[in-house]
Amino acid sequence: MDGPYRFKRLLEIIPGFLSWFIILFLLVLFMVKPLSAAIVMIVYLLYWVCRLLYMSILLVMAHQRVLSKRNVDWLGKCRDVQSDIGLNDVLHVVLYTTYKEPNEVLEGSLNSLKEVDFPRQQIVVVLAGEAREAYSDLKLDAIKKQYKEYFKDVIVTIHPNKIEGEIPAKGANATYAARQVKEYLLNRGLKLENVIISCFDADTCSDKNYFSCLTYNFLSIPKRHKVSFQPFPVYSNNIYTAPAFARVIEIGSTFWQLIESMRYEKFITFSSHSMSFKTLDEVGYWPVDLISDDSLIFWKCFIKYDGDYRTLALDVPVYMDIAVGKSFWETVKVQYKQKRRWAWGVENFVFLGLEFSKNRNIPLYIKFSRLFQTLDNHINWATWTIVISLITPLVLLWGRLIMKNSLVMFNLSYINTITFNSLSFILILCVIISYEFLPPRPKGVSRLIYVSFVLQWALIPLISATLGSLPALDAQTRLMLGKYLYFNTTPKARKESNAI
Amino acid sequence: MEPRKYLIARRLFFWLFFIMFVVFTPAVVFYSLGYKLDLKTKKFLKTGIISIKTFPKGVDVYLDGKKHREASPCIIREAMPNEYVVTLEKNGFYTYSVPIEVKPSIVSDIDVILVPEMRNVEKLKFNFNVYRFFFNKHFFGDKIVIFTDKGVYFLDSDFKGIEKISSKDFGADVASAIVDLKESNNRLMFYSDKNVWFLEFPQDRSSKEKDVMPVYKADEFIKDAFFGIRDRYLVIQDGLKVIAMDIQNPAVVFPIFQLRSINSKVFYDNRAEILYIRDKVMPAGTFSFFRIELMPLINEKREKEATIFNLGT
Repeated sequence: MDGPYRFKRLLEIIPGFLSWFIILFLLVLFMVKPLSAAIVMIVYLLYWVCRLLYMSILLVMAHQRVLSKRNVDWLGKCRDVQSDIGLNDVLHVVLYTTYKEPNEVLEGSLNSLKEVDFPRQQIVVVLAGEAREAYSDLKLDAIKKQYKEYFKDVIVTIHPNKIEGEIPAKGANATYAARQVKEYLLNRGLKLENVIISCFDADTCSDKNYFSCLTYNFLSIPKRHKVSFQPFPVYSNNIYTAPAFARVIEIGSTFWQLIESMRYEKFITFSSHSMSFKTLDEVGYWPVDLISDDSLIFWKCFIKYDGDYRTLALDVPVYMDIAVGKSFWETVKVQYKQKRRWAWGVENFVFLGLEFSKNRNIPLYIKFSRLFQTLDNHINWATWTIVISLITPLVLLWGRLIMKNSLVMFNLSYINTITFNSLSFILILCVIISYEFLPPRPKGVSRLIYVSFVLQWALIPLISATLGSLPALDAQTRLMLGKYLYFNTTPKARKESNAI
Repeated sequence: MEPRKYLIARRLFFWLFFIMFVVFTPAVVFYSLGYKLDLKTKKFLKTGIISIKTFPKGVDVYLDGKKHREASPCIIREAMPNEYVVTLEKNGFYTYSVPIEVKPSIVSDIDVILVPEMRNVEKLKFNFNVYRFFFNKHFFGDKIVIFTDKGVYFLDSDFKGIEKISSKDFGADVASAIVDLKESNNRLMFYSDKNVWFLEFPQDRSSKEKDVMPVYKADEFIKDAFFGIRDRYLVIQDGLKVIAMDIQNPAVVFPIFQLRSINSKVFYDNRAEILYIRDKVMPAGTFSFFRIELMPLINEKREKEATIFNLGT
């Protein structure tokens, strides 16, 4: 085994090793020295009380920031902005990657694109299909015909199967499509620096203001080619038909993105995002051999420009589907796999470790800070609900049965109650904020569903214990053992109604 | 708010929570271990706590006579290791005082049920002179058998239902002398040291009331009596004798066992039809334990009686 391979394997082992170490250390400590375990638990719970309260404040701030921008006339601002390029010079390429999604999913996304307030003759739509999906060319050509008249152009690309060096993942398809688009743009004499590319999932529905808000920010910021633009994803396309637990998980994802968006200097791209086409071309497009293309494209840019690259949070949403299956258990499975794929973002740590070791221009403290941030996020994700939902109750039960006269055990129970009271406060906050992101109730759906939208939050402890940390621990364990994950496409299907 | 202001606000909150964590965590850990800073001596002292739970709740708590600010259930924290007296007071209940020792880093538990002061005493609404009562556990609700000057009654345990089972007035002296009462299949058997009585009570009100029958008179003194042998017999310990008496023919009496001591004790298990006896073993003079299966014994004796009767006729 050569040095670089060993270094890569070491980086792959670190997150899983640390997560398992935390869990096993606490379990062993509990078995050997229960009182010491109780003290560690007290510190851990206090840490999470502080962290959760801090995060809830960030959520409130992000929510307030988004609300304050709700009625902004972005298009008007685009016209008024002082910039070296004008509104009319900007071209948007909107790239939808698709694999086996039903037509209505893609049509829903294109219909929302038809409704944006930005001039549609400055929008080129790219439908990026996969050759491994039978008749995808025919399907996408039919959609192209249906929507061609509404936009400057609609381009269909079909990503060939089994290109050497690629894995079957969204990044490979998007990269193939973007390279085709580059030829298309250059053939028409269009400047890449004036083109903004938005890489969307097939189910991504744009907000009416999305492209004008994006354009305004693109025109107004000084280093527009050193910025990725990140809308906040709201998983609401099928919120009235999705099961309650899936709604809670996905609203949680929206909240997490809002919280992250407040950490400006550490914010990175996630899922559907936009950026300068010139930059994308310069960094060599999305990675074709890794799964987390959405975040890795940010890191590629960050390293390419020696740390002089950032993600700007846009204050407009894009609307996406809640991942559901045909039955309740299939939805659980789909959710688990989706979260495990997201958690596979831990490969960013490996990518960063390898790339930082080659880059001499990024200051060491920035390298350390970004590596720590990535590791911290993923290790906390893989451990915190296991510690709080499973290990703490175990220690408490032990204390209640065996060491009921121990003061430490008694106080652990007391602090555990404070933790859960803090969580209740945060839950109430979540219920209130989640109402802001609800789309209008469709006809035929009873008002009673709003009761379920409140009661659904009671599922949090159950969801935390099952779908909280386990997918992340699964992903990290696979990476640690070298059993790499391959891209699982999340099924996108709209159902009549299975909401509970 | 501009992004810069959000950034400043965020950093402020970050440092606020960071400082909160850094400052409070050691304090909470020390506190959890029972440490308390004594401002006088400026030393950390290890304390314990007293956890008080009561039924009913809301009881006033006094520690060495000083009222605690919270009513029960409550926790008295930072108690210095020592011996204390905890007093629990609530209107309508007897005051409860308990000594308790507080040890460092230990939770001393007090979990008590207070006894109410007797105020709401319910009196039987009938004007009986009640001589004696027996509490009779029953599958369909507990019943109390009362011996009164107006007869013998079944009384529901909640005093709501009463049913007369015999008009016989035993008189205060006889009724007070009844040692025990047993029930089996709508039949009552009760005994004093001199007599055994038997009563078959009506199953419903339409049936005619039957008289109480004295079925056995003691030769010496009756120590115990049981229903036995398929509930057809009474097994009676009379002085040093254990006999079986047919309920339908009280004249038919079989001797079962001869005891060697007046301190001997018998018990009849009428489900298994086995008689257990604690009796003296001679010449050692110690007591041993015996068991007799009565069914084979009864059958054998009945056969003998029948043979004698046949020979006689």
